[in-house]
Amino acid sequence: MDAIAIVEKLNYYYPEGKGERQVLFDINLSIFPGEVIILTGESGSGKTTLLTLIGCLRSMREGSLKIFGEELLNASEKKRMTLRRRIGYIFQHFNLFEFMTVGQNVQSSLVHEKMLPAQARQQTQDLLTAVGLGDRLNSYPRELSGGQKQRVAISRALVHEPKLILADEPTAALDSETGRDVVNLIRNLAKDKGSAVLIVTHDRRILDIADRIVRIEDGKLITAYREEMTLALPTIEDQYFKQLEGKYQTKDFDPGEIVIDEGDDADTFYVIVEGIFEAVKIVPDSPPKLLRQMHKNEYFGEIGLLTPGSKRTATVRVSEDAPGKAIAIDRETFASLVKDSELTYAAVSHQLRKRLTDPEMGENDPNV
Amino acid sequence: MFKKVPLAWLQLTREKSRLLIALAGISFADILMFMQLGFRDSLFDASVLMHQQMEGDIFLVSPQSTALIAMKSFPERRLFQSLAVEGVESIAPVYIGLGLWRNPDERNTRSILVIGTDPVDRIFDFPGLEEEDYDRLKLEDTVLFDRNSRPEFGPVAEWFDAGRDVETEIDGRRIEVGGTFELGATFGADGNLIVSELNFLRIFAGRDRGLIDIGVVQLEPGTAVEPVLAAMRENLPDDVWYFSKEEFVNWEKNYWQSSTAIGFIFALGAGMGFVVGIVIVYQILYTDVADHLPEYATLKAMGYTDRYLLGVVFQEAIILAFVGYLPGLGICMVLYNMTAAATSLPVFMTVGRATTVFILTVVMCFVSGAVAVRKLSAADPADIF
Ligand SMILES: Nc1ncnc2c1ncn2[C@@H]1O[C@H](COP(=O)(O)OP(=O)(O)O)[C@@H](O)[C@H]1O
Ligand SMILES: [Mg+2]
Repeated sequence: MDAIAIVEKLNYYYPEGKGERQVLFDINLSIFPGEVIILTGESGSGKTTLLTLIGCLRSMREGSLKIFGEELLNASEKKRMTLRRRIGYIFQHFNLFEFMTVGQNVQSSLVHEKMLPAQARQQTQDLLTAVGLGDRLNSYPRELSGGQKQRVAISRALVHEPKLILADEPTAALDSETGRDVVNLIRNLAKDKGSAVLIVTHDRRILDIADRIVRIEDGKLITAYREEMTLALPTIEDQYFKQLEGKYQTKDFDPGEIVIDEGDDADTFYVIVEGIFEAVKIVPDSPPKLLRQMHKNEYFGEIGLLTPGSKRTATVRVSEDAPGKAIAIDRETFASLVKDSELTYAAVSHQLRKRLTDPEMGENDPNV
Repeated sequence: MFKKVPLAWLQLTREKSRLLIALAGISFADILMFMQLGFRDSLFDASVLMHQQMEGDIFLVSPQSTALIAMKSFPERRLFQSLAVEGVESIAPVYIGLGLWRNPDERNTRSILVIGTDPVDRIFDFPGLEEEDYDRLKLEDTVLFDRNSRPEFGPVAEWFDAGRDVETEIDGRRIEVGGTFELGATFGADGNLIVSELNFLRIFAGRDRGLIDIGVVQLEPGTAVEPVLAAMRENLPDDVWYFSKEEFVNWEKNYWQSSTAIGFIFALGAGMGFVVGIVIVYQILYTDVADHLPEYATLKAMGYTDRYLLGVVFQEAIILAFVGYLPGLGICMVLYNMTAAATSLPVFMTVGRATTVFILTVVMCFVSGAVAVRKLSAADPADIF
């Protein structure tokens, strides 16, 4: 599957005073068709800059950036402009054209498409109906609520069926419930059309719609530990992350690689970020018996840690099909996390209980 | 709803109050131009009213004459000679002089244009000039007074209409008003008098009989003017100019247009209207672009070309030109009528002037548009997030 966007070794500088300041450092990121990626990070970390670069809105001069297979390094303004017609943009403040009706706003994306007016109208009408605004075609943006405006903006960004959709803080101007509806809508429409979506946000409540979360810190792209853990342990609170800072690391595993061996000392807790992990029982003289499969945002290794001095009761390995990635937390850190946070403990117990009551796997569930 | 969204129109009509200001501004500029050009043309028209209302096909003037108020006389013999040319029916000499008229009421004097003619020729078509006026002209020291002369000459027409004898003097000679006609003041003369040839020579004692200022030639009915003119130029001495009526009119107009600052002054006035218009339209378009900068940037982000957006601003300019011009034109027609009524100047709308001002309006809006679009480059699609 060809990537829609491939960013490699990208550096970016803004002019500052007489010199310049680097704001993006050695960025590597690929976006695949149909994928929903959330890009998160502190304000000022460079999210928007990266988004505008991928969106062909800025010229770049260091590294490589390919959109739809076209290299953007030193690309002409004209080339970037043409590429932009194949991208959909969604903005924090909607950026609707106030002087146009809802229908005209959406249709403004179709100007560059080779299609008959009737077809353009139909496509506009259909999409607006799909976002629940089929009856507001002739309204003006000022007559709409924030959520409705963003729906119009989404329709405008999607009506020409772009293969890449970029959204910068699309929920920041909306209340949390509306925000959720809006990102769900983006996700569903994009999935229908097989479009890739890159959403910049620091709204924690919408992280779960992502297929993948990446984080920028001070201009460097890193795995979004914190966000991944939030998803795995929804009840964990911000203050505990502060204690965790620097005490966890990501580990990459090859397909089939063993993560935990049965009988080892239990000393690490894992949260899955990518890939499929399998808990297996090694039975002598026969193939290993698969106990359960674990996916993104699930975790393992906690039970051994809750009971001091215990050994691993099962083997965990990465599935043969794809590499895996997990966040690893050592015993001490895990203990402090659990001790300090009743809620986390509750969450862990909850997952544990769920596993134990699973009718199929219950009795075999290993105390990993 | 169209596939192509009419951006320019939508942008303009969104801000109703701004659009109104724009239209008021453009109308104002147009009215200024219309009035200046209208006054200029009407003044030029007025300066040739006499030429146009002289019954003649060919006019002889001295090459040293520059305008009605600066005539150099030439021998009447030339006029007689033209009788020999085939097609000529009759001739009439005209004397022109500037005399000092004493206001019969306030007794001060003022320069007035005196036209000397043989009463039997009856070559003037001025309104209010009747047969019996010509007859009275034959009387000694009797003049006809132009009732459209400036009021500074005194309440001559009122007194005359009231049946009073109006007696006063020109260049110190006692005269009596024997009738009135309507011609009107021009740049060169604040008022006009018609006198007989004989009386003219009595008033201007220094002028010689036989040295005339204009020779009027009438052709036999149905004779084409051009061949006769050509024959005159060919066969008659070239120490006088032979003009068709149109040439005669243009010769006078041309003097006022090119040899005086009058044309320039009015052109300047119209030019100011033009500049005012440019500034207003520029302001409107600039503010419009500046206010919609995020929207223009969004359009750029969506892959709209600069050319497309320039086109939008120019379309706005052209739309403004159209809708601003029409009310300007309408208001001006009304103002022309009011001016004509108040000043007895021949002010009226002509197709030529309406076209000129319309083209100027389009140019005006276009220039403003061209300056305003430079602001478009400030719309950076990278800044919209
Ligand atoms: N146009 C610009 N010129 C100069 N510096 C900029 C510009 N835009 C952003 N920056 C700086 O670059 C850094 C990254 O900004 P940005 O990409 O907007 O961050 P984020 O979207 O994550 O808040 C910040 O320090 C910001 O001040
Ligand atoms: Mg930002």
